[in-house]
Amino acid sequence: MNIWDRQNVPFADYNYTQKRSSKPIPAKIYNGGTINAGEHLRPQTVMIVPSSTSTYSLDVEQTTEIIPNKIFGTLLVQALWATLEKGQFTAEAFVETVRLNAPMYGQDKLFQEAIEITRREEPNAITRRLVTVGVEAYPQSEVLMNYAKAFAPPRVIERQPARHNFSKTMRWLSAHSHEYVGQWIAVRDGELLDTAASLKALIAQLGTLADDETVMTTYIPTT
Amino acid sequence: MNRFGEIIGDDRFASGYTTYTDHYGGEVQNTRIVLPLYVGTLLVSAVVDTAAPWCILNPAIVEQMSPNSMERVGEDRQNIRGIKYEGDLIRTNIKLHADYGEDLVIDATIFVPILKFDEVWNLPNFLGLDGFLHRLRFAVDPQSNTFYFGMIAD
Repeated sequence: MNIWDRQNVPFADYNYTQKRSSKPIPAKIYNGGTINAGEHLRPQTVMIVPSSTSTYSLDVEQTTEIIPNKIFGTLLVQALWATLEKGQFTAEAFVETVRLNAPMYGQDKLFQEAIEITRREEPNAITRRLVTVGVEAYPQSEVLMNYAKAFAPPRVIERQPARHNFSKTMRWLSAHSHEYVGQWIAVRDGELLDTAASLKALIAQLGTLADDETVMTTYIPTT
Repeated sequence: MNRFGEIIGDDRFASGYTTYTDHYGGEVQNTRIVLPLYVGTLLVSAVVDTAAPWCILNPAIVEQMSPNSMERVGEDRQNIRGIKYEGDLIRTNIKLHADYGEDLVIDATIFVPILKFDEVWNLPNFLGLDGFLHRLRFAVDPQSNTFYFGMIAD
């Protein structure tokens, strides 16, 4: 597909910005150093911006002008992210821009780049949205499917009537755990059963008691 | 100590409550919320940490789990108490224990740090807000060290 031909861009309702550059231009990499765009320079770079986005930043345009092709995806999402952090881009516009540009920049790989950035920088809400939209767009992508599993929200899958009461054990921990810092301990019904340097050793020492589901085996942390 | 059993039940605020530990480990001056839970067949304790994106488990606990009870779904890096850890993301079930009411079995993603050869994990297990408590309604009564919890309907 000739991506420069608007007729063939499958998002006809969107504005897009096209920049041309024929010579190397120093480019600022967000969150990083400076590069010189050289032999990998892409003379024409298009980034599609959602038509609903009226406030996209110049940062994005300037970046699209000068980015070498092979790292464009990374820089695109970095630029978008920086713009979002400055409040010039909404989270939804961020996700939508990634979706719109993904066909031109490695399909699911642009989503991967975006996910890798958002997961480092942000609570999981935006990442979850990226994963959801990415899987919808590229359901065959194994990588995105794995992200979908990792970022799937927690869900209650079973409810079971309470069978035990561990209030004595939990109160014992409040009163005594500081005496066993750095050790694995086994406690049942508010009584210390055993201690060990490792969980494996503790389980071995407990013998059949290790199978008792009312025995708490836990490490007492130093901090 | 009064427990608010009237808020437990179907269509009520919570489905169960449990007693939490409020002082735990070496930092006796700090107050925490430490809950009992089952990971695999092991009954362990974990600190509620609303800043943690994932639950974090001591690798020694995961070593004791059946491989069939979990699935590796990725990897991640986490800054935990100022130290950067690489680790695996696994998907598994954690049972939040109730002294009264209902235990809840929760399918969640867990971060398991990968330790160096002679490194020891000397931190607690953590229950993250986003990766675990996110779909639970919960409340704390510090007078009786009671943690009330219930599922949020989808």
